[in-house]
Amino acid sequence: MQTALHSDQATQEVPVKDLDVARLVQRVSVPVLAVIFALVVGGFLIATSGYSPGDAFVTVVQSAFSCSPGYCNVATVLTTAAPLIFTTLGAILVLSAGLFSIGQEGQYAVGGLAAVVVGYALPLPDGVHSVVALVAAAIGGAAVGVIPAIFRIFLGANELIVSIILNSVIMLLLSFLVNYPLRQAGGSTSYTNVVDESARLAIFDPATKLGMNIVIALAFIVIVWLYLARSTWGYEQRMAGAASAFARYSGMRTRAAVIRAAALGGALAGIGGGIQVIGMNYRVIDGFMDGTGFNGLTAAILGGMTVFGGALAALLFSAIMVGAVNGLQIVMGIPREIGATVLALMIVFVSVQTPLVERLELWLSKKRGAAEIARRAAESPVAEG
Amino acid sequence: MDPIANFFSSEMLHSGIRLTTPILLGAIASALSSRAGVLNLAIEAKMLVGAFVGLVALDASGSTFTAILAAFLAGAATGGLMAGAHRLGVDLIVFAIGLNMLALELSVYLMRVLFGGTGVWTPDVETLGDIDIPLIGSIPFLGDLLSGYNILVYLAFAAAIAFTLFFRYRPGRHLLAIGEAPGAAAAAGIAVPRYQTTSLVMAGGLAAVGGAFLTVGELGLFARGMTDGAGWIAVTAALLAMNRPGFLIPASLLFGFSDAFAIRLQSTTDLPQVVVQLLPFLATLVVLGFVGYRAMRAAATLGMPKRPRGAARPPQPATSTAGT
Repeated sequence: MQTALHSDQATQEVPVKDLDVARLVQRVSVPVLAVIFALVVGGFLIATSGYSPGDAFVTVVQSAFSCSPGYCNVATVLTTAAPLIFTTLGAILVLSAGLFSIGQEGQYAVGGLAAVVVGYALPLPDGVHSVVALVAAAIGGAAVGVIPAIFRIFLGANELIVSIILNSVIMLLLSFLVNYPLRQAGGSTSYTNVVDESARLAIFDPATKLGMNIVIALAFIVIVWLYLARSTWGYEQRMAGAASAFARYSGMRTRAAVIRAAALGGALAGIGGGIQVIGMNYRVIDGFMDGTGFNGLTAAILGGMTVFGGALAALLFSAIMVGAVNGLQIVMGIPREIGATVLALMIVFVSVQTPLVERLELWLSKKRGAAEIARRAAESPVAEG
Repeated sequence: MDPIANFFSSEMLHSGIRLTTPILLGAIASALSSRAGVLNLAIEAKMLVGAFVGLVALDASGSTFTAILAAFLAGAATGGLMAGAHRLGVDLIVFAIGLNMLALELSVYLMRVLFGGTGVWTPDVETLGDIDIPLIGSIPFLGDLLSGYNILVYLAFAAAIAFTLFFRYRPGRHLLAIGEAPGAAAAAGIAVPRYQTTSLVMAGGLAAVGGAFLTVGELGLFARGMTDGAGWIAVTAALLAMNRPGFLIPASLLFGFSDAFAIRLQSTTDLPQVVVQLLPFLATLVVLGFVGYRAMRAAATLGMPKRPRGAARPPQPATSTAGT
């Protein structure tokens, strides 16, 4: 509508305006096509293992979006999505500052540990307790998140690699802590104490533990969007990532912006861990690092590094996961790994499509440019000088 | 004296070497890719592919040779996929993250669909036998250390040595040039894409053999996440070695032995093994920081190792030009 108006106003001079819409369509089509391709390949896999892909698809959708009084699958999807949304937002924040850190997994774990320690060791009143636990989770996550940024900025090391090593280090540390100092006395397996009642998040649906966790997650989607799109800090970090030379020459402190982004991204992933602990598990087990951080990163990529796209991708992630477990595995007997397989295929297809779409865009704009030149030449052959 | 000698038993040395093997093969793969100018984070995926395909082939054919060959080919195919993606201009980091997840989930899915069961698939197969080296095997201490492993252990160390030697020759030098400056290498007439493709395919095959070592060589079973992060450790070990072929064996040994040491520590004492396991990772972080800092300094001083003697400090560049 608006673009049509624009091209009308600009008469025949600049009719290239509508290209923006075309580009937007192309951008959106990348993840959507990837999802479709992945579903097709997943259907093929299901078909080769002797089940009907159509039935499987219907079952996934039914079981992910059905809600009976006894057990609400939609609620399960939302509770699964809550921590995932946080790791996704954390990944988006860090990536938008041009810092390719994949340390969300470790930040998530440290956030969970911080929350559980505050949750059972500090005697605090209702309400305050959960907030303090989440703040501790945020600080823990931020502390981990800054390390790759510091390595990158002050030591010139590759932040991606540092974050991978940090994930391994944290995995070992978590296993140690849960097995030795934080282990519940007398517990048969290795897990920490349970957090106090006062630290737990309010719950609306006891069967699925849907409660404040998804509310906080949804609130943070808006907060992070406001931060990235509407605040000075957000602008600085986006510029530091997208055009660091421009940002430096216009007087922004890019180093500070990147470190801030890393800290905030880490804090978000940490809160994700905290929310999982005080809203769902109530304790940390050996094996708390179950891939929520990695999945957040992949959801961020699938969502095209945009806040709302990432959040949608996180919801899609958990819907497919829940549908695969509650639908395919329990109802149809298809191994639930097919869900994550399809998700992995989505990532692979998105990564492959991106350069292809770029080439297509280039080709289209070249063609458009050539057509435009030809048209103008035909219209006014005398406009030489 | 006695308890210490007991602690460093030949068993521990033996398991250290065995734990090193998959890491070493993965580290060679990672270093080879890095040298070709590609950050290969899909080592874990290739190891899993090798572990799964190797065991399936072993179950189907009964021949360990076929199993290892199948694992190698499957890994090489995965590497080829990555090489194709690289040619297209795909972001290989994202691609590798996808591949890792795909290998992890698809292997379990196929295992459950093809062979039933839920957690572990234990086919009735004969794993690789141990080889005793005739003369060396009878030397008291050294014999235990050097002899009595299956063929893949020897193969891994041989591959590392071959990789080191490879760098002494023309193609190795070309590969080095490609990793340092692909543009300059291309300008000098080196076929950069061909080298990169070959490296990635070889890396995939080697990493997959590392994975096959776990299933075909040692355990004879497959479970979810079989490699247990060995691929990531291999990437880390290659970084600790600064991707230098000659350093790959010691770096991988450090990781392998810290694991063996930790296991031993857990079984004999009550000390937490985490300290020992953390050590190689922290060492890698130090190396990364050091290497990065040196590269940053090199960039700041335009590649000169250090400021020329007597030259002025950067704040007064005018005097330095006057001096020369």
